[in-house]
Amino acid sequence: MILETSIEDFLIWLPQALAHFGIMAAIVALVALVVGFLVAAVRHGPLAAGDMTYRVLSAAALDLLRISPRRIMAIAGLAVKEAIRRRVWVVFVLFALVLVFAGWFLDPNSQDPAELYLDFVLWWTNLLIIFLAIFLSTFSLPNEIKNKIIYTIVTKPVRSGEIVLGRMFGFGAICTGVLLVMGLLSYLFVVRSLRHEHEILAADVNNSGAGRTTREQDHQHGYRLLSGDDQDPATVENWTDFASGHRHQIFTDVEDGEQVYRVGPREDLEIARVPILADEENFYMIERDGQRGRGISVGQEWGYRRFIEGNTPMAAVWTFGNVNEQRFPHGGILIERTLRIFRSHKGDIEKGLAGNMFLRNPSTQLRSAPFPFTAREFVIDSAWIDREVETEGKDGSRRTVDLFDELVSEQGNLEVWIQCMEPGQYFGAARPDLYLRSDNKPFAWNFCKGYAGIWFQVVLMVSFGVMFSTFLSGPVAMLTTVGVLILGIFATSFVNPLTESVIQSDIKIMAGGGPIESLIRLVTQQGIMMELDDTAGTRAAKMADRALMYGMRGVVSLMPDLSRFDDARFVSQGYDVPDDLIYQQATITVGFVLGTFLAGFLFLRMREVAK
Amino acid sequence: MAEATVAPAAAPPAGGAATDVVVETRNLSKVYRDFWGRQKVRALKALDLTIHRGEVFGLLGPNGSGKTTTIKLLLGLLFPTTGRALVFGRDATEVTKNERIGYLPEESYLYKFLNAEETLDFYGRLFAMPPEVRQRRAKELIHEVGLDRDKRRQLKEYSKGMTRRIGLAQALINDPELILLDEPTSGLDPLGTRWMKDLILKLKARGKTVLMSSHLLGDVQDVCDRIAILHQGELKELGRVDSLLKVREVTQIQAEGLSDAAKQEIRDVIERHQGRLLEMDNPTTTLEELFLTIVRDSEARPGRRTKSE
Repeated sequence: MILETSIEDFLIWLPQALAHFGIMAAIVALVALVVGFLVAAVRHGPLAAGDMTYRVLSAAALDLLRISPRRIMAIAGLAVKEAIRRRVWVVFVLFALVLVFAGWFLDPNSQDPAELYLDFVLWWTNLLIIFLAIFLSTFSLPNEIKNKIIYTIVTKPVRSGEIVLGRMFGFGAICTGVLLVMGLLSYLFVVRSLRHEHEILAADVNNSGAGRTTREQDHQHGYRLLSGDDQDPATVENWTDFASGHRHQIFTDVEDGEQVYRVGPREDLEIARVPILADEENFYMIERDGQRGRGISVGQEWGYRRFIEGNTPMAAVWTFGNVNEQRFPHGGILIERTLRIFRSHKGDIEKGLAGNMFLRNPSTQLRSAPFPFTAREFVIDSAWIDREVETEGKDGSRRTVDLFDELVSEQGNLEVWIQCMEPGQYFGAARPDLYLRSDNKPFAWNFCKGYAGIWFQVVLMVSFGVMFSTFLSGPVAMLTTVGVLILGIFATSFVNPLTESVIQSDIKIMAGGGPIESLIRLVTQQGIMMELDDTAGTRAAKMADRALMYGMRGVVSLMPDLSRFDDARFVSQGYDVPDDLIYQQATITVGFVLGTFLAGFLFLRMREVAK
Repeated sequence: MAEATVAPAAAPPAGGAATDVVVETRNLSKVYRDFWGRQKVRALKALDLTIHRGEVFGLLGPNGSGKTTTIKLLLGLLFPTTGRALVFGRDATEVTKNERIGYLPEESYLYKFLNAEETLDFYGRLFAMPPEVRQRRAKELIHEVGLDRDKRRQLKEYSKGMTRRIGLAQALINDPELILLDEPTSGLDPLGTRWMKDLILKLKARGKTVLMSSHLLGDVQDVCDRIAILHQGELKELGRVDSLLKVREVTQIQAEGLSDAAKQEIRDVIERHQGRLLEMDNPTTTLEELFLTIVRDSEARPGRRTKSE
């Protein structure tokens, strides 16, 4: 689930990020300076090299000051014109094919079609636009150098910086335009494919207000209408159950003295959930003895959830801070939860597991009466807690209190407890598995934010592509940029653990060792969990691997970590993309654009464009 | 101010004469190296050149003699291995000099997907020119190079001659003081060659400095004031075309309307002065002149005909 990655507050993140950027920039600048000087010194002697280095730097600084927006726009405009005349619209044809394909083969009757559809279109959009960005940005400049058009450009009063920046802007603009069109098409496609309406016939509603809606897109929803006897029925907020990954709101009107029910559109294409998560340190478990602890491990090696046993005092506890009326203005609190289930005996596999939830004031330890629920795996269910809550004393006495006045502590904290009620069965839980919801954000806006994540990646790829194209030939620049893309996507999940495991010789981070060790294991057919024989050869191999991995770590630390840009996952899972995340991504993008621009400018400035 | 009144009689500063120098190379050398820094070719060896304002200067030499290398060094497209190339007194790698120069490459390397108008508009935008000046100059230049009818066609449809014309137009978009032409007449038909030569002379009349390279000797002879002859990267000859080509031992007389008796008298005079008559004949016109006359005639009176012997 996407919520598992915690997102730092932007203002806390920013100073660290700026410091990191400063350090990396300084290191790169220093290395570049030293290498440049050494190369010049070997060719022309140290004195001349010093003079040359000084002249290059001072002239470059002057050039940067003289950069003209007019020329940048001229070059950017030309890049746009070039792309259009070179038939960039082919990408739309491809995208249309993708959508047609999706229309044929994606199943709107699947378990959660919204996630399926959104994942599909966002993934394809991402893929097409990234490759368009790489293709456009890497071939343009080398082609111009190859067919010597660059001669007529650099003999005009054009600075290298303007050539680089103009290209970045131009290709950025094209990709933005293409992305906008794709986004609009995707939005229409998803919404039109998945929009449907159910009906509730008054005759189908039984005495207790329960019933099922009509069947649409191969599913129907159950509901239990809350009738406010003493209230105007139009003011009562009713919802259907979750089915096929979504629910609908039910509106009640009175026509000719009869109640008429209308089912609204599916909720997840109207709104994006804004979850309020418990703080990391404020999620804990209660052990069998009633003490705070970590819960039970059920031996799922790769899972990080801990489990609580049913029908014992064990509980999972989430503590939420800053709970007050202003933040939850709707007269109550909406809690959403999705719990893992671990069965030690089969039981009735069709039925979920019974559980209890109650709220507790962490200071006064006053607790509410339990809210029973049934947990199903991989299903998000929700519980609306009204403002008036019944509490249960230790002696079983009950009274009704105000949620915000008595169950929330004076510091604004509220605890939510979950217990499993079935003996021998377990609930698994982690911090993001239960959260409060305050307000909603519009789905369309969230969709745009999902595209913002893609847009940032496009800008990054264009910047890297243009930068590499200033000193590499077209195909090589393209492969290098694809390398940056792949390293960026797998940095967190694969490359970083790999380098750390080899550098620290820690098999627990990742087994198998570096490339040379892996080759030895392949050839000698040894499993990755087995220690290699301690010979001089294997020691040398490991040392070489370590040197390689230090290099790899250096390279990866200069690349953007693209796994941080996966806003699309929030969208497809129905969560609001956190604004803090967008700010972080924007800052990272600006940093890399700046860095690649400076590097590209210097590379182009120092090279002879003629042969 | 005080200093100026104190030294009124001082000789004009040395820079006074130097401002007249547009291009200067000092000991300019270029060695091409391969990827590993190993020397491949010495393309230019210790070239010393000075080109003055208002001159048409020709770089002459066979293929591979270093003409294009010199021009590229002067443009900052290449960096000198040793020595310096100065344009308007500044290092050739400085971008600011480009405000005042125009360059026509050996082949017109232009954006094939643009049309003539767009091409000039784009190159114009690279200079600090107000939009109305840019548009006016683009229009004038299109007219001057004779592309009025084809200005909306993409350059990929242009013939070689037309490409050359639009290439020249882009080189002149900023009304440059120094124009560098690399093989300006290569690949042009006689008509185009003549047009190009006329244009060079027109530029000279406007006070521009022109540096051209060519291996077509006739073209150089027709338009250049001074030439430098390069061979294998070395300067072999430098001087004024007229003095270089003057054959001092031979005297040429051209006259009109002489009778046979008068011609005989001239022969006698030469003999009397111990001279030796090399040739006395009716001159033939050049093939270029003949070709141009036919084309002009054909343009004036279209239709098929063969000139009788």
